[in-house]
Amino acid sequence: MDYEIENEDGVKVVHLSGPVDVSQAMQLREVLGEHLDGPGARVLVDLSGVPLIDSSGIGVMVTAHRRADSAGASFALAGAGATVARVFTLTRTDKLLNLYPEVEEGVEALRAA
Amino acid sequence: MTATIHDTFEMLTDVAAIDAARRWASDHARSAAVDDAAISEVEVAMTEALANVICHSYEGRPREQLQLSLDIDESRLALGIRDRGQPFDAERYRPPDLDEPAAGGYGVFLIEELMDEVSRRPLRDGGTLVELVRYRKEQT
Repeated sequence: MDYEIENEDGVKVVHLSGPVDVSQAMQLREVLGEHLDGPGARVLVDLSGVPLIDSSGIGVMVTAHRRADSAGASFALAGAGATVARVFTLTRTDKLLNLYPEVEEGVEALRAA
Repeated sequence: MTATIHDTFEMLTDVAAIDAARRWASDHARSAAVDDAAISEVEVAMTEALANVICHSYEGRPREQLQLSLDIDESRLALGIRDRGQPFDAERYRPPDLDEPAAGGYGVFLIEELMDEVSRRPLRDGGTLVELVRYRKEQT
């Protein structure tokens, strides 16, 4: 998994590419934690380049969501493909996480948050 | 006619080795014309199964060996994982509470949801064979 971070009108967009699995989970947890650094922080994870997410990756997203909640920050995900979306649906973490079909929609939503 | 594939793969009990194992299995599945959605779901299930073996059966010891086998025919894909670590304790397994999203505990649940059959059998040498089976519904 590689990542690149862009600032789009005050929203930090974390573009991920490659599988998000147990071998990368700790690194990703740290990256997201660094950017969810306080009230007003807005972080969107772009999953459009992620072909696979496992339970460790799901755990990272749930942790980031809760961290954002407790810090007064905003956190969302966008662009999940079919397999990644299915994993969120099966685990019902789609009910907790803020998921958007497209990155642009996610950016708009976080900008308005 | 669909090609029949049988192959084996050895890997270390290191989570960094999971990616190569996934590529090995998915390359074979693609060459046997297994559909992309099924391949992706097998990749998730095998990632979870390998992570469980590496992190729990071997408790993170990274230099042990795992043997994988892959059999694909016109009706199914079967992935075998042979390990010699601590066996999975089904008695202690608790499925996740899906009404309470959590930061972990979904691995076994995902394997069982994504695969058509999952079995764990003790081997005579003291190890365990975990077998994940996905039927090729597109062929039926």
